[in-house]
Amino acid sequence: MKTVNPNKGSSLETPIHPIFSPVDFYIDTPMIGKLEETLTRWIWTGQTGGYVLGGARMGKTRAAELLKLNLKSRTNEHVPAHHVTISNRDVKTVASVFRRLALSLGEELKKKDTADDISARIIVKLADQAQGNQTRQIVLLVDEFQRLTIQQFAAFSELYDQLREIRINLVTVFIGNKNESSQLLEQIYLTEHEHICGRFFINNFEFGGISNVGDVKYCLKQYDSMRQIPGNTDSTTQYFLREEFNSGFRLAALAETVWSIFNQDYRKKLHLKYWGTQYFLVAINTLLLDYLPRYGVSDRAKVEEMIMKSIDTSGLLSGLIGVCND
Amino acid sequence: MINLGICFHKPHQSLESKFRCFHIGNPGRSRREISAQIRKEIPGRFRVGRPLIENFQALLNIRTGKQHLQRYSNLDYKNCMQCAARGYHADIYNFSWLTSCPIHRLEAITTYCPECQLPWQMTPENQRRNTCKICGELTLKNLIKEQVFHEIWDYQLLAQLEEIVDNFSEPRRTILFSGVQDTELVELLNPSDDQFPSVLVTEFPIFKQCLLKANVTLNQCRIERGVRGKMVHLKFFNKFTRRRLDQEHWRQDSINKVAITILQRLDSLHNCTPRASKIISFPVKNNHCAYCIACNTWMHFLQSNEINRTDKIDIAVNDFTRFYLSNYLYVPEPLRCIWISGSRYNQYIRTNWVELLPQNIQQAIYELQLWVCFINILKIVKLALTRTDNLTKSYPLSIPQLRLEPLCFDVQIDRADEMVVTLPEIGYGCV
Repeated sequence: MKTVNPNKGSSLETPIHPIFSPVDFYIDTPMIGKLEETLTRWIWTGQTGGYVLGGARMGKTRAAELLKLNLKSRTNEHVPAHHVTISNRDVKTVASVFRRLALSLGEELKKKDTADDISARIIVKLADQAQGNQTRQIVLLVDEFQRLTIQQFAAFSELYDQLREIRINLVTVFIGNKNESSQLLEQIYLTEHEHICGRFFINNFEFGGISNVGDVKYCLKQYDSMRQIPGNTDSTTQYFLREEFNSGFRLAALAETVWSIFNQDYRKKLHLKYWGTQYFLVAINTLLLDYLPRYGVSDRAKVEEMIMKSIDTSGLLSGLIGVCND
Repeated sequence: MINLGICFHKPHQSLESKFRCFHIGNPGRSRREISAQIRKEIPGRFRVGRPLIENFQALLNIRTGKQHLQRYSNLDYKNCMQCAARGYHADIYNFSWLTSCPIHRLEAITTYCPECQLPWQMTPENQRRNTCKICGELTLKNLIKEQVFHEIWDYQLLAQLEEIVDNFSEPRRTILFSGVQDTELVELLNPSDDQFPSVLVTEFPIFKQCLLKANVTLNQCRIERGVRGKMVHLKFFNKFTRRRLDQEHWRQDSINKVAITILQRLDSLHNCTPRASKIISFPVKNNHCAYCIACNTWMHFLQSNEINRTDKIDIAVNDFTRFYLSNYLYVPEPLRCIWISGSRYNQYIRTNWVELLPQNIQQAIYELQLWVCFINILKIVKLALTRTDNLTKSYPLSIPQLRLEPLCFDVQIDRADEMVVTLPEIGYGCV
């Protein structure tokens, strides 16, 4: 006999809130805005590239994924950006970089394809995309660049050079983990690698997490105002705390409490410069989904306790231990 | 996703040339791989057996949202050596009267490659086989090495010539018909004719400077103005060749066969005076019945040759109808403009040995074409009749739904003696 899942129909009709899927859920953070401003400046001033460094779980990848859709040229046209994540491989060659790039650009590769053919296809693909704006610019966001060897940067130099020959301006932005890439950067700054340094490693940007009460307030306001489900006008706070929201409660009102707890109990004690965006999001999501609906928002002491528990649950401490052990 | 090579596109570039750029953008891919990739993107529009360039064209139109046309492809392919070495070609290079490149002024436009003396290679396979640096396969590496992208080309003259050709190959002027004051009937010039520039300059001297700049040879030409108003007498033109139709011994049989069907259909459809089903007289019984007029016109067109086809016809609203019929109607000929998708006969079509088709197949295709020709005439006559009330108004010449292209049939043949085709429904009765 056929069994029918009663939830199946309803789940199809009402899509679940993206907060349950960490990959889909995002909020705009002040640091994303700063990075956008920096990348726009690089594009507008005709820079050939730069690098972005940040600690683990700061939200660099998420920021890159968001920004690749929003970059604009001086003529206010969309500048296409392509995001590629470098993988760790046993054999690290220039050809493997081309293959990785080609695959991420949607190319179907065969074993017989030569590095020359693949590089030509990548160049034409990027050049075709750059035809969409009058300034003929295109951005390549290379994530986890610390996994590259110094020799593999030749692939990006070649792309830049060849695209320049066909009158296309490529801006290559390398994004990497601050601690892991320090050794590679030291090598790059040696005079024998000046051609790489001059092209891509003159400009830099430090990507941090949340660093003050203003940042916390900015992020919490997103929970109160941003609509996450298509066709549903509810903000995230309203969706999970409907009654409290209707009686005037706003998550942003907890900004100072959240910051003071983090500042006193974690930041100063652990000598943290930033609150990693991913840890922050997990903490706030836990607070919003698990604690506040269950214990309410009226008792201040209880709320403070809930915030502390949420931060503990976010994995901030265990994450730091991991970093120390590394 | 396959690359289109848009980054190599230049102004006024022909589709053939864009197709060459497309191959520069996809090095190392075989024809089969390219076809498979295109097929993935345009599953509905992809046609097996259709030339790859046409499937590429469909993909290009979809991705860019613009129409990329293959123009003047019926003419011999001609190119300039400098342009060819850079993967460039413009549609107007194919005109026989253009002998030097409007971009590289002194460079000759030829039907063969001056470097290897072979005809220009049109297919990527041939280009790949050819090692000639001008007409052989182009690679991104070579183009960069030759610093092709640093060159700045002046397209001004090319643009002017193309504008002239476009203006005179498309009927864009408003024409008033006889019986109305200031009637003007202009026969359109054919830009593919050798003497097009000569006739054009005689009529419009303003273009002389531009054509001389392009090193076009201009001949003396006389324009006769007759009773029909201003008319360009195309003295040098030799386009009215005797049709090969007359040579086919079965031609009249086919016409008779279709004519009987048309008359039978007519008798069942219309309510004007009943006619005798004799094909030879084919009389117009009712001057207000679109079907009657169409029958008569159809027969007249088939039995007269092209040169006097528009002169002798005497039907209602003749000027308007005549104009459309003479400009837009394709009158079928055996073995012309047919496309057969059955596997057995594809080889004949591809090798231009259409004559090798069995006679019964040739005849059947011709009969189909005769039918569609009749339907087209019926459409025109019907439209003309709806416009007879007010002849004083002017008619825009380009009516999209009346653009009657040469008939192309996609006929499925499974056996040599059997062919199944669904004809379009005829919904025309009396007006």
